[in-house]
Amino acid sequence: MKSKDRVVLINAFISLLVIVVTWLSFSFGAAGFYPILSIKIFVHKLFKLKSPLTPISDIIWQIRAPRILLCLLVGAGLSGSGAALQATFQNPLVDPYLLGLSAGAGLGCAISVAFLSGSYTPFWAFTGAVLACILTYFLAKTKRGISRLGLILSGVVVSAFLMALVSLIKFIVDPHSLTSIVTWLMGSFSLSSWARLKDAFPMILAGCLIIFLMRFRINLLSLSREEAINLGVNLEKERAFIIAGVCLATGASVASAGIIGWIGLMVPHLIRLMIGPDNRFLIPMSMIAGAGIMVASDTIARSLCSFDLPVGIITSLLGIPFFIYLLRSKTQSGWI
Amino acid sequence: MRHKNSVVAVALSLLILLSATASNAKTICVTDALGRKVFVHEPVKRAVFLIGYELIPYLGIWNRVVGISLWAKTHDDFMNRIGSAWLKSVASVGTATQINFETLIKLNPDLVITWNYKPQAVKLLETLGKKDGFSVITISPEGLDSLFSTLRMLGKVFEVEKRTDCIIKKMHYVFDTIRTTLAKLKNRRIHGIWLWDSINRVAGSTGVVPDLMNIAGIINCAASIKAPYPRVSLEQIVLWNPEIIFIWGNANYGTKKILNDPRLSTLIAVKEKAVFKSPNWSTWSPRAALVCLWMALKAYPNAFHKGFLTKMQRDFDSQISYYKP
Repeated sequence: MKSKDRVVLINAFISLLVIVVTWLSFSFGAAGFYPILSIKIFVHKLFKLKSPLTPISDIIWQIRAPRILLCLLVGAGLSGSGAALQATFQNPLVDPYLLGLSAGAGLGCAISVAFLSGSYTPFWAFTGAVLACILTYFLAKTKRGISRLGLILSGVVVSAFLMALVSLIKFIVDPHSLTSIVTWLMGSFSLSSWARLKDAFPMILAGCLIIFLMRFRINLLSLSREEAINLGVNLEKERAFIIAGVCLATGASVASAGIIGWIGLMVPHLIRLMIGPDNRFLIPMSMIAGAGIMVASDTIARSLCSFDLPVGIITSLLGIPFFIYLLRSKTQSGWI
Repeated sequence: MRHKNSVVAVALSLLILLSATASNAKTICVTDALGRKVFVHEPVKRAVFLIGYELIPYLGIWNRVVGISLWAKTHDDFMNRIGSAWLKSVASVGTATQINFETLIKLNPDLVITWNYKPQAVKLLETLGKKDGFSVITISPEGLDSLFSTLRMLGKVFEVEKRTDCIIKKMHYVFDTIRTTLAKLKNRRIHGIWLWDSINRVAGSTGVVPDLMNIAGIINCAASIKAPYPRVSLEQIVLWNPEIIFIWGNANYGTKKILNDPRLSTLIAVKEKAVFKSPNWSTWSPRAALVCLWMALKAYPNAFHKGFLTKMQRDFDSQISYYKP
């Protein structure tokens, strides 16, 4: 089988799997398992039928639907961003939070919870994430341009500084606000709503679109500096485009669901193992698989017990063993 | 010769003073929230409150406290209302979750009252206490009985048992009045939930709040969850379909957020507009009785006399010892 056919086949299989997982997730929850009703509701809403719905339909439409759609969106945004950054920085350990986005969003959330009672936390988290990204970018900028290592290091520095401020706020707030901050930092979709989805959708979509359209150029950016320049790539400009896309997708994801670890790191590796490093396929497939894994993780998080567990715990529990496996099996390959 | 006499006189007076102190000093043993047997040397004169500081005015021990949690200064309206001058003068020793050990030791305390939230911090405090001669008591009322025993324990430690008994009696009076009043009602089965800092964080089966709900004649929908502050899915809340919703007084959202949330629009409580935000009263203090009365009044408004809550509030305020510099 040709390599391209194999990629298409894997892509079709993963896409189908994601559709099935999403449908099962729509059908399953605390209210019970309704596989047929969940399809009926979608048809009902899609064609704006006027027949009355059951109370369970309200649960599925008002609570499950925005939550699952947000999961899909955030999963795609984080995985796509992770894949793009890993290739751009030629570093397998890079995740979407590299540019200080998580720390910036964390600080935005902490400020909102601690000092701006009643304010819209996702707005502050997004503002914090974007400002942190801009700060990282300009801190790394020198007269000779921006180096990969410089950007990674300034990301580390900005993250450390902002996380210190988060710790300071955590120190002074009361225990209930502290729990709110900690839970938010762990990542959760429990309070997803149509309104929150509407806020996050344009920004995550725009970010994903930039990354998707740049996927051909990301292949060039993953070459050595000299090779890329010889091929006529404007390194700084194109990196800035990708960073802007990542900033939008990740910033809006973090703002709407908190900090969800490992998806952005794990999924691109998983896909790379299956189809290789060609970013033309790797990036869209990472987005699809990331969306599916996020939905599956969140379904586990909300169904495992009577508590609604933060999804970050589930993604970490899934991601860390995988990462250990990756480290052990790929150490000799030259990628790690 | 005159010099010799004065030395003898000073020595004698010191001896008398010491013997008098020794006769007052005694050591008592109490069991704290972690189940530890703690020996406290009385009289306690330099206490540090990392938690439970609302009890200071009720026990009337302003002048026996040398350090307090930062939360009391920044987040407690009650303490700021009745003892703002004192709060300014007393040292802050960090918070119950992040203790500033250096400041605490510098205060030379004889007793530290803290939370059992961080066992490592308690362990370290215990070690420091053995070295520097102070006792460490953890408190964490897991229900109304536990709150009463915490009050009694602190009453015993600070030798203000009579005062404590009086406060507990007042609390019992409120609870008994609610029980007797509600017993006369025929339809007394209102299902409700108590929401904490987030709209999906409810009061489970443990803690003071579930006990208060029970006395106030409200069946806690989340009673099957054995945790004090479980986070549940909104789907679960819709399935419970509570008839009344209470919001914690310190929550950073109000009734409007619940009433206007389309996800919760099918709830009876939302349809009937039976969503109430509680006053900012601590449930780890005698004011827990007032919270209970407030809940009962919201659930059964016709069962109680108008002005009963205000009268009780005044009654409880009369128990407070205001800070006088």
